[in-house]
Amino acid sequence: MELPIRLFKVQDRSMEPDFEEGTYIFVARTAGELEPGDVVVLRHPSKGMKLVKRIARITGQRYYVIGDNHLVSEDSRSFGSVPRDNILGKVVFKV
Amino acid sequence: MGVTRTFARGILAVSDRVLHFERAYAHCDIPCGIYDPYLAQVAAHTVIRMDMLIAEAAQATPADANARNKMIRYVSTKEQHAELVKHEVRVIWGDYMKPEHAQANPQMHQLVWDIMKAASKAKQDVSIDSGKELLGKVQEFAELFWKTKAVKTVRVKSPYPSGGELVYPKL
Repeated sequence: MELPIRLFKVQDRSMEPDFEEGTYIFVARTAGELEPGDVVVLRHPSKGMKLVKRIARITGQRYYVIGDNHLVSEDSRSFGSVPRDNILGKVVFKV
Repeated sequence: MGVTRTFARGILAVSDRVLHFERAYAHCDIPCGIYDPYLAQVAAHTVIRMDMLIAEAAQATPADANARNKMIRYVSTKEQHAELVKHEVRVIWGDYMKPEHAQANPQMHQLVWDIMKAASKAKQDVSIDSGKELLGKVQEFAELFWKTKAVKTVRVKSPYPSGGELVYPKL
């Protein structure tokens, strides 16, 4: 059974300044509808690793995500938009 | 960061050591563009070449100041390039490699450790075999590195007087 809330630790710097490396984030699997501006944890479409990014826009059921630190982020600009199934949940709290 | 948040993060950090929370990668892509095990291979080839030149210089007569100067330059270059191998491999291992790479390649940490030891031995010895041992391990590391990027590799004959091979990515 999947937990409704999962805890992750942020690695790397592409979500700075809001989410610096080492930040702990609580991610809710069902936190209502996702909207542009939400920060989400998603599965990288080809590498499988879990990423933390911000939703820039939603087209149909595809989510275009970008790192806040644009200059150093690998995101939808390189791997394209991702389907809803790739998104594990929305960040609802950070420490 | 406020006191409460600092305290909460401290509690989570301690728990993390025991429970190993999942990682969510912000995934900075700058390093991915600049890591390459090519330099480590070239440095290992240089170590082998210096072993060859040192052996030749040892036979030179007379052992005048010129010959001694050459010898010292060869030894110094061998020392520097063995250290360069260590540096290049350490940077890729420490900065680029992630836990999932180590999981997929369980021999990685041992291999890096072996390279550090082989580079030290290559400094201590005047031995082409020690240099070749170092190069072989660096080439294994090069293949492992490209595998983490799902890039196939090919071994080609090196164009250097040190002989041997080079591992290239098939891009």
